[in-house]
Amino acid sequence: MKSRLFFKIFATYLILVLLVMAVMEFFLTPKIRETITRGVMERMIGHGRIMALMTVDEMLRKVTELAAGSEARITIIDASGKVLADSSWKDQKMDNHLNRSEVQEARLKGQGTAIRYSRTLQQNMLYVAIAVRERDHIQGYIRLSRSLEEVSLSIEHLYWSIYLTLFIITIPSLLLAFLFARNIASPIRRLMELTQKMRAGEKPPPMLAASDDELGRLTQDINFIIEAQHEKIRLATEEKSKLEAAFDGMVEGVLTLDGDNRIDQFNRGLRKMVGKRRADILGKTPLEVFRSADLQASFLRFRETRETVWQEVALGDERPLILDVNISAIKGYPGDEGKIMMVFHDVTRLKQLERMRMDFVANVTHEIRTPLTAIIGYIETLLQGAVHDREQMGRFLQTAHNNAQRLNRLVDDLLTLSNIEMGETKMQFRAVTIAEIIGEVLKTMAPQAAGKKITVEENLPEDIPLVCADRDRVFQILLNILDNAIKFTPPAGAIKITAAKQDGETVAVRIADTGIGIPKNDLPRLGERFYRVEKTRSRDSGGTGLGLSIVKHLMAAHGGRMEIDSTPGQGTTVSLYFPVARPPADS
Amino acid sequence: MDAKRHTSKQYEAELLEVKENLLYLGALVQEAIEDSIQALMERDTELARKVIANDVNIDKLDDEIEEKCVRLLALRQPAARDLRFITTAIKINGHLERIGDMAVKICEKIALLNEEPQLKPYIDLPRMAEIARSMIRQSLDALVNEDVELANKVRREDEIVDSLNEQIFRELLTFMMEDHRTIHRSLLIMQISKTLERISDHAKSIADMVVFMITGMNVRHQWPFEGQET
Repeated sequence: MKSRLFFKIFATYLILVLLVMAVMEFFLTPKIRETITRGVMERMIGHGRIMALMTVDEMLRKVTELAAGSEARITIIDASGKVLADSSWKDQKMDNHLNRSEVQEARLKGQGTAIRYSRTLQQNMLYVAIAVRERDHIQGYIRLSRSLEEVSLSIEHLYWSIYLTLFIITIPSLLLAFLFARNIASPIRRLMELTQKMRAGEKPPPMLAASDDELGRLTQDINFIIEAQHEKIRLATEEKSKLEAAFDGMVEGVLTLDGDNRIDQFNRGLRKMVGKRRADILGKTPLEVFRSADLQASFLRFRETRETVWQEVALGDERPLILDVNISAIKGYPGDEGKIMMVFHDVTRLKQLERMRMDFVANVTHEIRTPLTAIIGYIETLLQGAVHDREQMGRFLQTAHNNAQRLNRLVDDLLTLSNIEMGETKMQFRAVTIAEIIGEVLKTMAPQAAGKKITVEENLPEDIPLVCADRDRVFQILLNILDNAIKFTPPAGAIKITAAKQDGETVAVRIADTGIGIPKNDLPRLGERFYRVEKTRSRDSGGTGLGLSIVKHLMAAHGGRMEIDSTPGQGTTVSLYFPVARPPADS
Repeated sequence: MDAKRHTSKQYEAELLEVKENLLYLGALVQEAIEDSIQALMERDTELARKVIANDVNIDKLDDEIEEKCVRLLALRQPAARDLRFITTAIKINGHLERIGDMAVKICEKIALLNEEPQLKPYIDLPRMAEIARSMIRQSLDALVNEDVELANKVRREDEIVDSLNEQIFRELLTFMMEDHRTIHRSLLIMQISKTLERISDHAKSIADMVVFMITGMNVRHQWPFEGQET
C-alpha cells in the first residue's frame, strides 16, 4: 500500500508544474509572438528606411542584393502604385499596389505596416512599406515583406528551448516532490502503524525520530505517550496484582456477590475453607456453596435489613469447621452500590480451645465435687449418730477414705500434668530395655485383666534396641494405657502388646485391644484434659480423665509421640514411639 | 438448569428461587438431624426441644416451596425439563418435610431417654445419623450439579443404614432379654434407630427422583445395584 498522503503531496506538485506550463501557454505565448513579430517588423522598417535613402533607379538596379541583405522580399512600387520590380516575382506582371493598406499608410505617414494573407504566396505575410522621397515628393515606395511562417518558426525554436528548460526544471522538481512527499509520508505512516499496534493493545518499541522538525517532535511525543501509558498500565497491573495477592493471601475467606446474589469474586482462603473447585464456587449462590441453614438465615436477614450481620456458622461435612461470618454491603464499589460482601473467619481452633477451657473448669469442679460430696455425706451421717454403730462406721469411713484417696489421686494427677507442662518434672533419661518395663506393667495389671477374663498377649522380639527414657515415667505411661485398655475392653476380650524397631530411630510399642473403640471424630481430642469420648463413659470406670493427657505430655517430654487408631465396636490401638538410645550419649 | 437460559428472565428467576429454597430446606433438615444426634450424645434435652420448636420453620418453607411450584405449573405451563424439575421439586419438598418431622420424633424420644440413665454407649446411632445426613446432602448436591453418578451412590448407601439398624435391633434384643428394666429405654432407642433408617429411605427416594429428573428414567422401584459396578 502506497501512502495516500504521498500521492496527495506528489499530485500537488505535479499540478503546480502543469499549471505553470498552462500559464505560459496562455499568457506568455501571445506576448512572445507579438514581441518577436514586432522585432522583425522593426528590423524590416529599419532596413526599409535605409533602402529608401537610395533613389528608385538605384534600388531597381540592386533589388536582388537588397533582398538578400535584408532577408526579405523586396517590392519596388512607383508613386502611382505600379510595381516596378519584385525580388521574388521578376518576370510576371503584378497588379497595382497603391490600394494595399501598408502602401496607403506609407503614402500618408511615410511608412506603413500590415499583416495579411498573400494570395500570391498563399501564406500570412508581414508587410512594411516605406515611401521613397525626393524633395518632399514621393517618388515611389519600397515594400519589404516576410513570411510570418518564418517568424512562427523562430518562435517555435524559442519555444523548444523554453519547453526544454521547463522540462529540465520539472524533472528534478518532481523528483524533489517525490522525495519530500516520501519524507513526510513515510514517518507518518510509521507513526500510524505504531498507533495501530497500540490500538491492538501491543506495546510497540519506541520509534526513532527521523528529524528535528514537527514530525520529529510528534514522534517523540507519541513515544512519550506510549511510554507513559504503559507505565500507567504497568502500575495499575502491579497495583492490581498486589491487591490480588493480598486478597488471596488473607487467611480469611472473602467473597462478593453480584446483583443476582451469585458469587462473582472470592479468594483462595475461601476456596480452602469450602474445599471446592473454582468452578463450583463462581456463579453459585452462597447456599449452593455452603449449604448452611444458619448462613442462609443470616443472609436473608441481611438482605431484608441491609445491616451488617455477624454470625457463627458451623460447616464441615467431613471435618468440623466453625466460621465467623460477617455479611456487609460494600461501599464505594465502582458501578454497584448494592454489592454484598461476606468475610469468613475460621474460628474452629478458637472454639475448640474455648470449649476445652470451659470443659476443663467444669470437669475439674465436677471431678473434685463428686468425691467431696461423698466424703461430706458420709461424715455428716457419722456425725448424726452413725458413729455409734461400729459396723456401719467402719464401712462409712472406708468409703470416705476411698473418696479422699480418689481426690488425692486427682490432685496428684493434676499436679503431675501441670509439672510436666511447665517442664518442672525432672526426667532421668537412661538407656532402658522396654521389654523389661512392659513385663513389670503386665505383672502389676495381671489381677485386673484376670478379673475381667481378658487375655493379654505379648510379642516382644529380642532385638529391640534400648530406648532413651525415664524408667519410672515409661512405667507410668504403659500403666495408664494398659489400664485404659482393660477398662474399655468387655469381659473375655483380648489385649495384644507388641514392640518393634521402626526405621532405626524409634521403637514402636503397640497396645491393641478388642474394646468398644473410639469414634473417629473424638480421636484428635483424646489428649485433652478431662476429655471423654462420652460424657458418661469413663467416669463410671473410675478414671480421673487425665490419664491420656499425662501420657501425651510424658511422651512429648521423651521426644516421642502417641498415636491412637480406633474402629468403633472393634477396638483401639495405641502406638507409642520412643527414641532409640544412642550409645555415645549414654555414657 | 444453568446450561439453558430461558427467554423470560422472570420465569428463570422463579425456577432458581425454587431450587434455592429447596436447598435451604435441605440445609435446615440436615441441621435438625445433626442437632438431634448431638442432643442424644450429650444428653442435651434443651437442644432436643430446640429442634422440635424449629420444625415450624421447616413446615413454613415447605408450604412456600409447594405454593411456588404450583404457581409455576399454573402460570408458566412448563414443559419437558422444567416440568420434570418442578414435579420433582414438589416431591423432594414433601420428603424433606417428612424428614424434618422425623427429626422431631427422634427428639421427643431423646427427651424421654434423658430422664433415665444412659443404657449403653451409642456407637452405631451417630454413624447412622451421619450417613443419613450426608445422603440428604449428596442427593441435593446431585440435584444442583445434575450428577447422576452421585445420586446413584446415595441410592446404594441406603443399604448401610439398613444393616446398621438391624445390628442395633439385635443388640438391644439381648439387652432386653437380660434385664427387663432396660425394655423402655431399648424400645426408645430402637424407635430412634428405625426413624433414622426411614430418614435414609427418604433420602434414597430423593436420589431416585434426582435420577429421574436428570435422565427421565424412573428408577424408583429398581434395585440400585443393577447395572452398576457388576
